[in-house]
Amino acid sequence: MKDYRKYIRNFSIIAHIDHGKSTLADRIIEKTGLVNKRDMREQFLDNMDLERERGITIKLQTTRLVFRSKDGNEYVFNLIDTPGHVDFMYEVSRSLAACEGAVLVVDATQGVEAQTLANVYLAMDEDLEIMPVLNKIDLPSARPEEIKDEIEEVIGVDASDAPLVSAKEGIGIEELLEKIVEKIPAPEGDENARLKALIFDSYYNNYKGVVIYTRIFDGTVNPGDIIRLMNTRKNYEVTEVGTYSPGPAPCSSLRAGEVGYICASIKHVADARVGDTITLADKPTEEPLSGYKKVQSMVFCGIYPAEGEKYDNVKDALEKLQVNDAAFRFEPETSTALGFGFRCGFLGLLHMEIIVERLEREFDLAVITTAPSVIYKVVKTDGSVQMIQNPSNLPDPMEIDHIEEPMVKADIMVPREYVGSIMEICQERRGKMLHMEYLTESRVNLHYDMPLNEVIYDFFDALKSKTRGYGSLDYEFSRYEPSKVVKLDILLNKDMVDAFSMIVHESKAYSRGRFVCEKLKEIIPMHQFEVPIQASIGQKILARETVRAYRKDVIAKCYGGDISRKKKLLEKQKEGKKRMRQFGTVEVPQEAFTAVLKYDDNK
Amino acid sequence: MTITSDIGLYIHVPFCIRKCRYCRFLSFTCSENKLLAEYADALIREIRIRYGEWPYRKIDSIYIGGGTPSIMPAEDMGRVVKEIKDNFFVSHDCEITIEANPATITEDKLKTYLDCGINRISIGVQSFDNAILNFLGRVHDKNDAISAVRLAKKTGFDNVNIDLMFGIPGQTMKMWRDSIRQCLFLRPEHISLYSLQIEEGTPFYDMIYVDKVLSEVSENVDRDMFSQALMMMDDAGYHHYEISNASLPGFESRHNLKYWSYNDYLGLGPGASSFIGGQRFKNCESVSEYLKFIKSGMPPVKPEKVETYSEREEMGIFVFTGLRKTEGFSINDFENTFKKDFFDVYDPSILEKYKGFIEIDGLNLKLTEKGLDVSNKIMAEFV
Repeated sequence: MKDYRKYIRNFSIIAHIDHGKSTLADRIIEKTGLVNKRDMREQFLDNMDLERERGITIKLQTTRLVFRSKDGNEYVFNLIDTPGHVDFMYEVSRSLAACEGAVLVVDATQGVEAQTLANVYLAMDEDLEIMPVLNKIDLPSARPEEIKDEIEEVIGVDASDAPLVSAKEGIGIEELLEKIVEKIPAPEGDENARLKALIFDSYYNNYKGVVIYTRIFDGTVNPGDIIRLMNTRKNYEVTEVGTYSPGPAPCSSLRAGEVGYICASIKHVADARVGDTITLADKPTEEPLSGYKKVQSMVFCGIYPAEGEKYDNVKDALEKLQVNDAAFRFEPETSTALGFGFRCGFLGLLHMEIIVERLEREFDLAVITTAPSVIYKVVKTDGSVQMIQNPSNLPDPMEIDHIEEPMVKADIMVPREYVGSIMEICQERRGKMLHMEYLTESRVNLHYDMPLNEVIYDFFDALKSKTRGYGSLDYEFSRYEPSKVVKLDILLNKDMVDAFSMIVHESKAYSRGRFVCEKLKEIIPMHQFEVPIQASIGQKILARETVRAYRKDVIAKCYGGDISRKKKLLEKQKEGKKRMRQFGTVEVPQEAFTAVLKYDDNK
Repeated sequence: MTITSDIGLYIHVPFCIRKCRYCRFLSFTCSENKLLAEYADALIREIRIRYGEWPYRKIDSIYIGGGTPSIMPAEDMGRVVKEIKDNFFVSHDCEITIEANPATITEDKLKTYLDCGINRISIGVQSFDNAILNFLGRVHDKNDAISAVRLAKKTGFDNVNIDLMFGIPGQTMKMWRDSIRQCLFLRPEHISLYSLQIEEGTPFYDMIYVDKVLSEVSENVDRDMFSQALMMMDDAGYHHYEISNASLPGFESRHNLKYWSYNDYLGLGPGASSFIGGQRFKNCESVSEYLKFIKSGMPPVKPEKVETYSEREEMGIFVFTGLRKTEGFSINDFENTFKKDFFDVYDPSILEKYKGFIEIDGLNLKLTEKGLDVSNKIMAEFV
């Protein structure tokens, strides 16, 4: 069957968060009969508990579906689900590169959002056919005609015949599937050419080693082939190839145009880098595939084992997470306060939170995270330049000529009535408005020039809180700019705790210092002595709070020699201490480290 | 103070005229002499069941506590004490204490006690303020308390303890000082000082945390009251030898010290705890179950109430009980008991961390006065 490719459609679904992408994927899977309705869980492709709980997709999943069209032919759909958050642009771009088309889901009640736009641009970069779909059509507030106009106006794609669906109610799904057959191009490629395949995702399986998700562009791969990963230049023997439908189904070969998985006893995830090109060792292709966006960690923080947790366990877990998450990086570091740990690089704050949560849930580890930081460019008096992402590594102020901080171009899309409050929170965070455009009469796109430092701290929380969740944000790095930033230290009982140090703008030092002191005062329990909490820049104290000493912690009676009761009481007290971290003479509960980072609505 | 390796015997009498509003101890309302006599019979049987288990051990302290042991007819109490002496090997200078409620004391009763060998009486005064006594739910008033102490002395008790309580909601510093002054004026040989604990399941607890019609005394007031009392007692010649106890020289309670010196003790009666021959166990709490065990000739201990601790746990117990004594405990004793170096077991940095709260004095490890106030926190480091 020579023209098998004619019956393949490789596509992604892209959407703004909450626009119902995962639910739509569920419907498509259900409609193509892959999973019994009985076995259907909500959000089928989101198979991490965390994803289902947060209602967002973290890891992309890929699934092979079979659809019998009205034209009488059976089509293979390779559906690649994508994450929908600003932090996961890279994962989106990877999955898009494996497709010919993208189904763009737009909420028929809300219209185009910042994230929608960002994803569309990514898809356009990959030359994908973009097929708009209006979702949530069942809601009384749906405005399909208006939103179609908006799509054409803002995005510039023809939306006149966009299918109207309700993923939740299962309306219009059949029409959507037919439309996919009609509009999304079949893959090209030559199955007899030299192998050229793309790694767009991978994960580690205890039995099979690294499982690579791949899209074959040219050639064919069979079990027994010796493949070469062009970037790492390592050879492996293929042990299994197959497709996910949605469980793994081994098959005899993967051919040009197909999407599937390859196992080749690869032991280290680092050897199967996402973005790498797979070819055959004895007949390699000339040119590796281009087109992967190189990711750059934007946010850094320290992750340390909590008291009683083993360093090696944390290290193993981080390695395993890295296998599944090409955007996550880490390296060992030490802190005087927290001991041995890791400096980790993330795409953004949400990405960081997710990694930490996965460490806790999937690996059952207790970790402490330090304040997130961006990378500062420190120009020293001798003219040399140092890139600093850990506040503790900041050189002596005498050696610093000036410091530059990363700036981003931020696009914030909000309903008109929130423009005022958004301008306020941007201004508070040293943002400069570049311009403002009305997308429609009621929706505004604000373009800001902002320090990344301010964006990662609590901007997203503030934005969501001020716009009741209607605001959306997208940002990209623009440049480094000289800035008056200072290192803010926190002292507990006169001793500096490096894990609390952060780099902040001079104008923010006082308020941030006070906020942290107040928060710590709430969280640090009473000790047998007074605990002063101070925020300082160098020798200068900016803020101070005091946790007063308790005077009494004694249970005097111990009747009839009932030592056991007393013993249990003391043990309970000791148990409480275990969740504490000791800094010199001061005990700090672990939640203190995250609590000082949270956005405070009343601030 | 002398600490011997002899056994302390504890007898529990879980009955009261009525329960006080702060009390969470095992006690039931009962003042029927017939039932109390039956209870004495049961204790006598338990003594017979138990005595054979440690045939070569000497007993040098007996403590009859409650509840209100003085509620029992004195003759019945006499029978119990006699039974102990007939069965166990009781040393000639054995300290034999009985707890008494001021409202239950009569001259005859005291005489009977002395006749059967009871040589120490602990009078549950709690306060010399009528309003406070009433509020606590005590069955006696200030005058009952004063005359009870006087009567005990007059009848021939030369070792009297007074229990006092502070940190009571509504109690002012002046009331407290007046109570101590009154107490010192009566010149008991021994004084026990308890900071009121608000325990779940008591009427006080509900008043404070459920109905919120009452509030707990602040930590500061509580500690001020305590140090005030220590100061006044010190001036009067009393030695603060254990967290809650002070005495004239030579009158430290031998029985009390057994608990804090890792000595053996055997508890009889419902809910009584024992630590003997390396074993820890607790009698069943229900009186009817207790009677059933006794009737069948069995020790009244359910198997799950026998607790076996690891050596490390026992070390913790040694330390936290030892630290209740103001002189602390001898590190040598610890090392002899467990055949381990103390600072191999415990990180010496604890001393640094709690500097000013715990210290080494000669061969002893002890809490400072400041340390006693927050003893739980420090003790928790050792369990």
